[in-house]
Amino acid sequence: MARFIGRRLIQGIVTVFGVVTVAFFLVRLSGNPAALLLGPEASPADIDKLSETLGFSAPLPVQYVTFLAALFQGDLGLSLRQNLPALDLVMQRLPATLELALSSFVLGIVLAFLVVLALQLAASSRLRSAVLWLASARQAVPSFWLGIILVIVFAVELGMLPALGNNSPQSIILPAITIATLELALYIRLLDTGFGEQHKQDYVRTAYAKGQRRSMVILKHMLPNALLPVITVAGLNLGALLGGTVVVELVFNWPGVGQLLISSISQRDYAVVQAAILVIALFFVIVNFGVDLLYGVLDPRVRLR
Amino acid sequence: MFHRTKRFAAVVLTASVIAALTACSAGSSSDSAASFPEHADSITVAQPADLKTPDPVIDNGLLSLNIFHAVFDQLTEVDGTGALQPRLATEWTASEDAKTWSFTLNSAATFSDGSPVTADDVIFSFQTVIDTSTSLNHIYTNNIESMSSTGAGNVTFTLKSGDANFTRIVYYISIVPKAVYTALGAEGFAKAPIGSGPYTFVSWTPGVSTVLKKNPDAWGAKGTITDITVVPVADSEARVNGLLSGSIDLTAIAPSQVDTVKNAGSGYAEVSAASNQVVYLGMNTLTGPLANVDLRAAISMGIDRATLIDTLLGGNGTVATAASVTPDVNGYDDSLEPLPFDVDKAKALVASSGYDGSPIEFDYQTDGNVPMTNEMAQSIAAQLADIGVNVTLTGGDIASFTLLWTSKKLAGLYLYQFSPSMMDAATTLNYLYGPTGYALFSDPDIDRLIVEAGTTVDPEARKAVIAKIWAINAEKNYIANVDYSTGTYGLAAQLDWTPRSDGQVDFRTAAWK
Repeated sequence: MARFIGRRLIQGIVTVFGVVTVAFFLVRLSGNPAALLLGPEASPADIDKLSETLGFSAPLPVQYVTFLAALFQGDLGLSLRQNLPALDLVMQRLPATLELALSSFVLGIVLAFLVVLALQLAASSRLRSAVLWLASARQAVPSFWLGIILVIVFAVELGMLPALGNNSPQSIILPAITIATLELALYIRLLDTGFGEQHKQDYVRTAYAKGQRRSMVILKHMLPNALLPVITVAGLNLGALLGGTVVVELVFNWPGVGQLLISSISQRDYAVVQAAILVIALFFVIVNFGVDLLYGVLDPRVRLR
Repeated sequence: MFHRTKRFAAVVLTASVIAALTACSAGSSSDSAASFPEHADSITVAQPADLKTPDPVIDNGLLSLNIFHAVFDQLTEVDGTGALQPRLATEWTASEDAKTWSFTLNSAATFSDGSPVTADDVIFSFQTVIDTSTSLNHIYTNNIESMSSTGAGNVTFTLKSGDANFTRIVYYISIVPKAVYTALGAEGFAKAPIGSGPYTFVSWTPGVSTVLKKNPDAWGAKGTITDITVVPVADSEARVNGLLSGSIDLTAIAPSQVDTVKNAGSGYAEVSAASNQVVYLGMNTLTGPLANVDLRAAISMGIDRATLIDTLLGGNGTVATAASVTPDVNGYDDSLEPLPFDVDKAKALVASSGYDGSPIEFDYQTDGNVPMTNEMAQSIAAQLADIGVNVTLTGGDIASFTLLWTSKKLAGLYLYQFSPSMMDAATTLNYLYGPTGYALFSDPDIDRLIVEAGTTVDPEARKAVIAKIWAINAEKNYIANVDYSTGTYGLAAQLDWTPRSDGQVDFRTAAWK
């Protein structure tokens, strides 16, 4: 177990380091931010001067070494746009993104469990087909489109809910529904497949032969086994959600990390892009590490080495 | 037994749906409206970008200026029609060579903490910009050689080179109280900025909102609305949806969104005003087929500007002349005619140019400030094809496009816009036409005239010099102007507000009817 944790820790550090390094070079190859910071009314001389002041005139390897030296001291630099510590800006936005990602995730996965359990208990092929069709339909619909439609219906036409921002408890409802319905569709399909595979197993037949009730077989025997593949996907998915809510954040003007990341990329605000990607990568690695540990606990066949 | 299981399943399924709906609609009952902004004495304004920082010494974003011009005063003011007006300075004089400018300050001016605005504060504000290496305002102070004062009510600037436009440049430097800025430091001042403007700064939550409050003791022009909340909303659809759902009271909208707002019901209104924006087709004349003056004339003549304005912009624009500034901008020439559209003549010019039909690069931005940019680029490309000019369209996001523009790497044609914030032709000439800007052509006559315009203080004489530059452009077609945009805004119908031609939002002019 200790060996497993040590190895995963090193893998995690290497992953985060690699992601941040790629981000460092990619964002710099995409252009000098001085021109964007100064706007169209700046002369070439002004742009060169600011570029030098900000340290972007130095060769890339020199900039990289400077960046790493600062990173190891926990310093991710100042935002070029806002002149504030980049990590602080990201951390200010993190709660909003976590709130949206986690609430959508929990809502989606809990509803999926309830729906699939109900389908299993009902054993109605028509009902199952209808639900799976709806899930496929939701997966086929782009989230930004659904988001805009929800805003038009519930905010603009009906005036029931806020259209944008995070100013009231109701603000989260529409963006969370937009993401949660996609999560719901994903987990319905996964759980349904999981149960489908368990039905063919010998232990299920044996359980029925022993005279156990259908609900007992489903809840006590099949559910834990059907859960295992879902946990792996859920781990990856939760990590991806942190950086994946960006489109929804834009549509609903949700003040999260995704929106900050997009505007920072547009402005070539190097420090903020690096800080945001570092935080997202760290979150991803930590969640997956947790999932691996959980997997070992839930499935005795898995040995954590 | 099986029926019982089915019933149980149905109950679970129904319960789960009810649970979902309940979770989703928690608190969304009749009291939900209470959380939406009340119109009593406040407005919420949406703009595409956030402040960079509340410190006006550092930030220079045009959208940030909406806030800085409310919280701080500047020496002068450019009003909504583009005319220059006094603000902190009651009057000013210039030397004949436009190198020395002397401003007399209004003795009644006070900061919101009650302390008077003095010449010391003015010199400190400009000097702090000059001394702060990360300030983005250096573009306004680069030409200042020295500053002096002959008393609390006078500031004299000596410039490195004559600049007839200096009185408009100073509108972009906000005056901060020296004592407070020095005591708090730049970082502290950014958290609690103090100015002498009609509004005071309440809070800034990055990415969420900036909140201002009316300063009841403001020494100068006062606002009517008490509380102003400015929210950054990057997505234009989200801005309109925010307006139509009551979350936002005022926002700029795209021409394509005008009908949506007009048709949304009696609660919403659309206002428009002539703007300072020129949409133009730039040409790299330094190399390739666009070096030929006949081909450039053909391209300009082959653009059906009136149709573009009617069909793509819903009529929100006017056909441009050879002047690269709009009628409200200082330096416009009233005598110029709208640029002509003549397919037959354009085809003849293409033939006489010797153009061999090889595709010309045509860059445009896929987002950003050019109204209906994608449609506009595609339509112009199609119109050029009609006269026998072939282009290869390449779209890029605004950041990538701007970087190409500033590095002068645009190879052929490019669709872009310019909106001189100072409402004067000086910036347009320096950056689109001058040798130190981003022009992709070189004309010694224009270079000489730009210098002459910069040092001519007399307004009429200066206008005549600038008119000569437009005349050269009419003849040589370095820049084929397309249209002068009309600024379009959506607002709550009960809100009375006057748009400005520079596109800024003056909160002082807003009031509930």
